[in-house]
Amino acid sequence: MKETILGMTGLDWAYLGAAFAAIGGGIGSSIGITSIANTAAGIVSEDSEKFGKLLPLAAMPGTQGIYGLVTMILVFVFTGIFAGTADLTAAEGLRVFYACLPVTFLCLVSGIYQGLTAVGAAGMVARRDEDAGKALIFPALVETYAVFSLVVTILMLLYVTG
Amino acid sequence: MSRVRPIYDPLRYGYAVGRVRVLETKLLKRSYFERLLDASDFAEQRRILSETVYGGSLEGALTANDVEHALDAGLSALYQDFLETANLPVGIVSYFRTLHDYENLRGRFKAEALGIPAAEFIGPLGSVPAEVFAGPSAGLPRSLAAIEAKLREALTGEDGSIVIGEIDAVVDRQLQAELLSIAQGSGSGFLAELARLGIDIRNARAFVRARIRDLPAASAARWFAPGGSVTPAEYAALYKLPLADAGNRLTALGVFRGLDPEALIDPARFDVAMDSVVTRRLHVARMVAIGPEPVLAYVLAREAEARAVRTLLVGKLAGVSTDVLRSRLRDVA
Repeated sequence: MKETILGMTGLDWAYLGAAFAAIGGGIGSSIGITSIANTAAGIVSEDSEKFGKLLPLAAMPGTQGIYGLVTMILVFVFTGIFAGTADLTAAEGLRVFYACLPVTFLCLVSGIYQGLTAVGAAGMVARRDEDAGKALIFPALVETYAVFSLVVTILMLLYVTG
Repeated sequence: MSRVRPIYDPLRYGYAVGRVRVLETKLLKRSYFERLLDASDFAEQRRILSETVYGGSLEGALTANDVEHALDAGLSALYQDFLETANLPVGIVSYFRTLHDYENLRGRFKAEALGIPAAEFIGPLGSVPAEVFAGPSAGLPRSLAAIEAKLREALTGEDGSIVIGEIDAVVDRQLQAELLSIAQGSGSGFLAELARLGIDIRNARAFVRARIRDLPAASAARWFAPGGSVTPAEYAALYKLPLADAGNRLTALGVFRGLDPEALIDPARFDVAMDSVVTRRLHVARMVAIGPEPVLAYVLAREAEARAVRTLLVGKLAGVSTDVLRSRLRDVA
């Protein structure tokens, strides 16, 4: 009989971590994109020429969902789930689960707040076309922390499964 | 609720705020008003405005009445566009409509007291069409009929007729109380602040007018409504002072802090001074990235813009001098 923690095997914990990462990033991205897309639609309804300048802002919160997906794929690769060779103890599986938490929470929160920052930046674009470049910088600053979370998760996964 | 605002507000107000961000850039700038001031006649003013949102509605305008109708139609479209369809909370929409409902009820009472048709005093921005307000009480919706009955009871003199001198005091008191109640119930902190500011402005205006007319303190006290940053008791204490001293003291209290005391006690400059206080609040509201505040600030800025355009156009038609019109001009953008 396989060793378990809270009734879950190592593989179960790894699956849960991967699912959390994909769900957290996905929720953050969908809320963030909805926020900025609503505002961008309002701006475009009054001035359709701003569509091209607003599109990068609207797409930016989508990266958190991608980081969640990348984390899920890495968990499957590193633990051998894809290769069909997965054999984790409960403790190893729990560590994989912990490794997924940075992406899960930081991408959830940063996706929502990046959407809000993009709403403010869209206001800049609405006022002055020439500020479109500067407007991209502020949401990009929020992106930094989503990237950090992915780096932390990858390093932890490498350490745990290496 | 405040914890879900980052998620809830963009979903609810995002589209309207996006539109507002573009439309704000089209508000008339000071330079436009200067051009309207310097225009040689009304026809030139109309030509200047032809490239703005007022162009279409003012096209055939020839008289002051035409200007009033055109600007009212513009505001009516704005209300329909932003208040009714921007997904704003019911309380916020109700705040603006209630304001005009009371103005129309005030008009009904004044018309009745003067024995002239009510249509002269009725505007189109209330919650029901102007024709309903101009008609008999029985035609009013139940809620408005109840308010009218309450006001009528307070306004009816011993001989059974409306006391015209009481209309403004009674209607204002009831209106301010109702606006504050609606604003507090709407959940919008900005609207509640605006309602309190409205009480402050109306109280201060009543204070200055009563003091200039040298009304007895007891009579003036009826005009001061509670709920503002300066309490009725503080106004009562200030009322005992000479007007200049009272003005100095008032500019150390509440929202009047830092204002020019002479502008505050001069009825000709009072409205401009108060508009600058409101404009400061609107600037703060516009800085909010998302939520009802930028939408409300835009609606209020358009109202202020329409007032300024009305002053300049009707003033020019009436032959008022440029200097006098300039002194009445407010910053709206």
